[in-house]
Amino acid sequence: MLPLALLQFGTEGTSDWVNWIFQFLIIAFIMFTALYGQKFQLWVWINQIKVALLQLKQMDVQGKKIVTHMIKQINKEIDPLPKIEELQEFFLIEPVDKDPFGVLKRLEHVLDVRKKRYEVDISDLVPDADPETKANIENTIEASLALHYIYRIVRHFFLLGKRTNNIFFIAQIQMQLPQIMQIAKAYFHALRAFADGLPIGDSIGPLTVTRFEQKYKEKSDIFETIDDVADEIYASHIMFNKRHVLIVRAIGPGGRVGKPGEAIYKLVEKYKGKVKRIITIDAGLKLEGERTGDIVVGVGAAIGDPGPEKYKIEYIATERKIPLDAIVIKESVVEAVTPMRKKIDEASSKAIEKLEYLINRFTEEGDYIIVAGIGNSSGIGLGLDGDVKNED
Amino acid sequence: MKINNDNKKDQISGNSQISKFSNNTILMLNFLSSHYELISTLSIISLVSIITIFLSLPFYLPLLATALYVFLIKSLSTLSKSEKLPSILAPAYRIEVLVRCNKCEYKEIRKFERGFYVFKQLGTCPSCNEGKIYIHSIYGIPLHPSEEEKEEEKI
Repeated sequence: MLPLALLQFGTEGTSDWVNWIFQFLIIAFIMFTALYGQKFQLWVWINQIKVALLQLKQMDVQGKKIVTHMIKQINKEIDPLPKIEELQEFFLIEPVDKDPFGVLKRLEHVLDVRKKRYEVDISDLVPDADPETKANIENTIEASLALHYIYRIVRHFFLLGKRTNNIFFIAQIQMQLPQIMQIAKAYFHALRAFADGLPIGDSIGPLTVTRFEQKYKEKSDIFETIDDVADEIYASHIMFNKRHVLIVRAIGPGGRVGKPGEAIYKLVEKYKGKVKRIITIDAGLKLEGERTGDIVVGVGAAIGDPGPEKYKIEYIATERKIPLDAIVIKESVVEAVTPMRKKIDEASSKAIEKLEYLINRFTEEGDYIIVAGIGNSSGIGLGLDGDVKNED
Repeated sequence: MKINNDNKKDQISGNSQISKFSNNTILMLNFLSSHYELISTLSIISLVSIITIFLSLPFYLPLLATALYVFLIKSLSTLSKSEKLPSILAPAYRIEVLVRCNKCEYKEIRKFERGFYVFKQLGTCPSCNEGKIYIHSIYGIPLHPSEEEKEEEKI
């Protein structure tokens, strides 16, 4: 009985008025999309940016809290928040490049002034802290500065677009939103990593050269540290397969990058005519679809500084006709600034194999080779006093 | 060699029928929640199609209803995303510290503590009583791997 009763609903009279209603709805829908489609799209995009902006603000505020907490743990007497806010707004004006002569020297000078200024401000905040903690605080503040900058830029374009009702301002932010959020989240996790003094993906350069040094230190006839090579740089001299290897990296375990370019320059000058090869090891950006932790070998200076350090390496290598080799460990932007992944850590043994091959294949006994581990030394100590068991 | 890893996997994959049943239920619920939008859209299409047949309504009604449904759901989901805010502040990595001895094969995985760094010496080896134990590696294991990382794992 029930199916028969249901079938009676489908009469001509019923479908007529329902038909009219749906035709009206379709016309209304088309009219709405034609007349207000763009406005509706703008409303959707604005809401998406609003949500992202809330997240960015939360990260910015939380970042400040982490830095404040870090400083308060060491120095309970001061309120560091005003100083942190001041440092977050700190800026650097890049030198004029319309006349490019000496632009890198001028840039290096400005960067040095900025670094010294930061050091003084951090010393004011935590005068009794050890240098490693100060270095970690500096890195944490740098990460919070990056977060604050991203938040300010997104907020600027959002408000500008909303105020002028200009879809293009909104569209350019909305379309880049996934990348912006990815970078912001990476900096937020980097901030935590620096606060805890953890190794990050970028620390693979210093980690690889230190593991290489540990592997051959005890077997080596010579082991000596070389003092005062450059600012925040550790250098040592060991023997590997009857070759003199000069290790260069930033001092640690506090987060520093140092001046590896200057160190290489000075070492080449010190061992006049003896240095036959310069090998740089650094983290390099992988392309989408590539594996994290893959090792690639190339030529040139593998260093991602603003310019001055890379220039010094290239300059001295060109002047003395020293070949430049580069070993790169692939990782993404996010992996480079967040806690080191297991795959990246494991890649260091493969990088050491490549390094040994390059030294054995392209140099001769008695040659001097500079091996520089480029990158942030956060969480990477300078090695053990005793020997380390060869796990390979 | 001593590795202090969790044995949760072994506990979950126990042979009892109860654990198998709960595993299947969890898998089914995971599938439903991850394909929520697809399942709900298909349900709407089916429902509207049945009504269309019984009321002899125009054939384009299911299509129109689906289009309106997707349009509304997509628009509203933009606003509901704000619920995900706390996830940013939650820990994203589990930090593991691999401790090794410089003389023997001793290995140990410890939890990270502030002040730990790679090559930090932690004392004498409890296994050989001769060598020094030191931090060999500190690495982070993502708690919520990104799509890219999941794909890489598959490769």
